[in-house]
Amino acid sequence: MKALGALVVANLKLWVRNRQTLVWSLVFPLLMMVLLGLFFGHQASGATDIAVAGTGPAAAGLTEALRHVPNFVVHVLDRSRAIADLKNGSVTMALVVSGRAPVHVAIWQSAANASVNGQVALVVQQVANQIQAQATHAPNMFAFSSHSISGHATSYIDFLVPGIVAMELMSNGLFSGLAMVTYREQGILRRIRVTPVPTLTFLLARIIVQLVVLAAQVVITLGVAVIFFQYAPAGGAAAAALAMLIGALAFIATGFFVAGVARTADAASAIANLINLPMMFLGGVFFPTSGFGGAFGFLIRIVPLGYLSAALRVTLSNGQGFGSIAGDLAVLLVTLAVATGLAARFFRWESQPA
Amino acid sequence: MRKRYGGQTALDGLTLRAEQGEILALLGPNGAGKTTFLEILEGLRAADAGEVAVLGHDPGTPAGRAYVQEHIGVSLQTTALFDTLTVAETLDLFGAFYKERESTSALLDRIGLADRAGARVGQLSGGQRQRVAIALALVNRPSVVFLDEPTTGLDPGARRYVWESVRQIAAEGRTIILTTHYMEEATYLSRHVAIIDRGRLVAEGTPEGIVGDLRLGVNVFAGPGSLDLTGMDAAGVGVATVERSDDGWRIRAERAEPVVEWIFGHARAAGIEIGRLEVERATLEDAFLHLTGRGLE
Repeated sequence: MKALGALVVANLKLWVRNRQTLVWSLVFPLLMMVLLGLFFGHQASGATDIAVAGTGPAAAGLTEALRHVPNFVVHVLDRSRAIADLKNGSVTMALVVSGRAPVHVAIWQSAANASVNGQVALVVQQVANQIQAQATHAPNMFAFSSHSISGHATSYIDFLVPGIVAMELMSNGLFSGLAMVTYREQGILRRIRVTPVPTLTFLLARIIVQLVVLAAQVVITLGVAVIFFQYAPAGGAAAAALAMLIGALAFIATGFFVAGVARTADAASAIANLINLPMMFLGGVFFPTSGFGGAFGFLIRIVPLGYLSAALRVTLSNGQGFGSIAGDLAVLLVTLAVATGLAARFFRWESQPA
Repeated sequence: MRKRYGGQTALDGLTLRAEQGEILALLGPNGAGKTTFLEILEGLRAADAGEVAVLGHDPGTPAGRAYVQEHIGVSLQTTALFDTLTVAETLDLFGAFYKERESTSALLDRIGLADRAGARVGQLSGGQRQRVAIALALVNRPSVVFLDEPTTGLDPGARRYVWESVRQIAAEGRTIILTTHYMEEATYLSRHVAIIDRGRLVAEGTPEGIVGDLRLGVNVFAGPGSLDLTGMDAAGVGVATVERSDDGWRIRAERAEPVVEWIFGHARAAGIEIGRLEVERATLEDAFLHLTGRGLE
């Protein structure tokens, strides 16, 4: 315990005194958020998510037609889920389709999306008109009604902030192994290895310090978002914290794995970047990735960061609890288990084989 | 002890024993296997074959290693420390790793860096860093201290400081095992020198004993170079070799007197004034050269 405490204190001092890391890990994500927030902060998030509830050929036809609208992402859900998603801001509009001749389309909109509601409803009605024009024998095919609920707004900043937090957890986790490689190259690890300190104690101290640092970063990032960008966390703090913890551990383990495979600090940095950059762009940090299909869509679905940013968005920005992120947590846990296994398998004290 | 790295033999049946309280100096060129030998004793590497005991425990087993590492002090060949920690913080950190520890202030006094306690390690000179490394090797009041090339790369002043520290540590009754490729360091510090080459023990004993056993005699240096000493080895004065060097001659012989007398006579006859005449007893360096056919450095 004495050794663990001393190592934690020493590692914290080393982190604080390393200006470069300090600046890079704190300022870079904040800079990204401030720049993107200033330019796009109060616009609606990039894609327009529409929920469609209802069965039968009319609902299917409308869904298919809406999918061809650029920027529209259509989710087929049951009625209660569609309304719930509208309420928590996951979708911009919910369409509940029922009956036949005429087909009744209830347009549910949220007061939080007042600025875009009219426009989106207009597009929906135009799509319906086109369907009607193609089927001339049914003159009154659709009847519309409008319903409004109070809900949570989804501006770009609501989208961006959880993404930035997820990115911080990932980047710092991935690069956390870098110091280990430097220490190994310099022979500091060997010096510690000739003391009675167990390997696990040494690694545990590194992980604890990394988590403390990440917690500080998350608090600073959320603080800046709340104060300067009027970001309003919607709740779900416990679920978000759990997702952050599992995500952070998974990426720290990945960083340790990178440290094990890389021979030099330069190589470790290159490998970490090789993982970091694609994840940053495929992981739904800066723009929504739900609308992509094909090979790109497949890549997006296998990137663990996407599950972390999704989980944080659903909890922090939309206020949902554990139940809504169970799937995301499962993916992150699997990532953690695999990365830990790889990190343990490839860990080494020495630059040269013994 | 035997140890191979891939196809290369690092230790080829090296057997050594250090008694409690002595300084055992392992002397040999780079790549002789000295560091590998120490690393096996320290529990950093495992021997391929052989028996190893430090303070009666085998550092090759987990329990033995735990015991050994609790009771030994180590200064590795490259002194790498956390550059942004201060000297005192570094000593405190390593002190926390052991059950028993020396106080940081006592260690700072010992290495003469009490006034630099708050300085970051990265700001220290090479000699000061080495002093910190030695303090770290003493942080747990060890019974055995391993010093791997403690003075390599240091200037003469810093080297002298380290030597005095080593003597002081030994005077406290601790066993010291050090490696060096400086013959004068082994001679100055140790009464038990082991000359190692290519993983094998080539000679062992006191410095004088090793040189005496080989009957290497003396080295005589004479100049100027215009003095022609080529006929000397046939003159019956007990000469082993006569070599021309840049500024004169180097003669290896059994005894100095007949050689010196012959040189005087020869110079007088040739009408050449002697510019240089030095006699030196054979050294460990000569012993190494004799034993291996190669120089130490």
